[in-house]
Amino acid sequence: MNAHDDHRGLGDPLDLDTPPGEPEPSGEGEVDEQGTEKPATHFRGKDESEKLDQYLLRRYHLYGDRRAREQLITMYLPLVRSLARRYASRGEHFDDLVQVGAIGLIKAIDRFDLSRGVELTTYATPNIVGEIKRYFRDKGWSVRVPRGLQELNIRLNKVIDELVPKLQRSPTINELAEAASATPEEVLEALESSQAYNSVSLQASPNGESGEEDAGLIDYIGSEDEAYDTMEDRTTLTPGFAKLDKRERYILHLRFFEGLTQSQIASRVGISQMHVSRLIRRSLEKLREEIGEVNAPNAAKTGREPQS
Amino acid sequence: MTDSVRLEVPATLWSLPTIRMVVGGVGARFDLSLDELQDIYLAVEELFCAALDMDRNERYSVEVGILDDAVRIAAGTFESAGLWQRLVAKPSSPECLDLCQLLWRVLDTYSVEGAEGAFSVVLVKQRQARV
Repeated sequence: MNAHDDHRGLGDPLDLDTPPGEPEPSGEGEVDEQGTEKPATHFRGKDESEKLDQYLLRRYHLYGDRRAREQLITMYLPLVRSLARRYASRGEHFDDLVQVGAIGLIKAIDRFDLSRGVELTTYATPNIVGEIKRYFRDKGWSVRVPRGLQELNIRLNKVIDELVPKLQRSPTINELAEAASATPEEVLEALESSQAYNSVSLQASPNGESGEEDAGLIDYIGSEDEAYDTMEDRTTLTPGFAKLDKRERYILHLRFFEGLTQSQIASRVGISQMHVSRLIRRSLEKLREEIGEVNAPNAAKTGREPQS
Repeated sequence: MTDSVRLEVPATLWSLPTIRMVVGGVGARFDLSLDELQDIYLAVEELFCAALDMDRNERYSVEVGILDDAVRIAAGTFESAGLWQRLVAKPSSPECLDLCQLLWRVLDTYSVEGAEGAFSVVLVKQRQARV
């Protein structure tokens, strides 16, 4: 197919930049020396291919040409397949990962900024990888927690809040088990299940009902600490920290730069220790994603794996 | 080590809960505090998330044991040169929260054993004396 003729046939009276030379579609993507597939449609050289990208991107973004968008998606599907293949051995169907990655590709095409002068491959790669990672994260952590464990989880929150000031230290698992009338194994399971709270409504009762006697999860989340604004905010200089909200930055600052334990942070900020734990994990996930996206453009150029 | 548990797990995120449960079980028997346990969880998660991103091995072994007054976790075998670099690199600045900084801040020690291309990581967390 000749992309030039194809798009001239759409009735645009303006010749929107000179389109590239005649493409020679190969149908399947080729694999470069780093093992990464190139877009399926190859032209006489890299420059020609980039020219076609830019031409199609301009068609889509300036003229709303949906066929140009579709052509870009088709051209870059081999890149999606290549990136999805890296994650295919991790328990998900390859086709599902390709579909998820394709969403990342479409987002990249839709959000592409023509004025920035970067290649679509450079911009799309971190978007595709990010979408796949998000899929793993969401699917991996969102599990249905049995009611008994949900109840124990909430009970543990209260028990921890009571034991820390009483013992003047963080309680052990055995002490928690005794205070919560549970076994140490049940306590560990409940702690593990707390991971799934990321996807539970903050207004939800721990029983999944709306009984007034039950505390909602939101009761375990404190209000904003005044120290957020007064702390020496050197953490904002740390790579990736700009993506975090003030409370997340503050909690990471307390844990990793001031050396406070999770229990001490809970006491300082006025939230439960388990919530501190979740916030730290979530913040570190965000940092990993952010740093991965910063590094990925280089990875696309060098053929190296994106770093987390 | 006087007492240890050895696992072999696939290189997937789904292995993390299993690893955490085993670490938690050993840690509970050793009477670690919740804070100490959460620190070990963080270290293990960060190490494995980095490995899942950078390393191409399909399975890892994890050995969790008690050594004197500490919990010791040995994980490997990793091959990634990038992961090796991140583990042995000196922190670029005190404000940088990279993998090695994070491990230093939540653990008492960690070490990289073996050579670039085939190495294991040993994480050690001391139990604090109880008052």
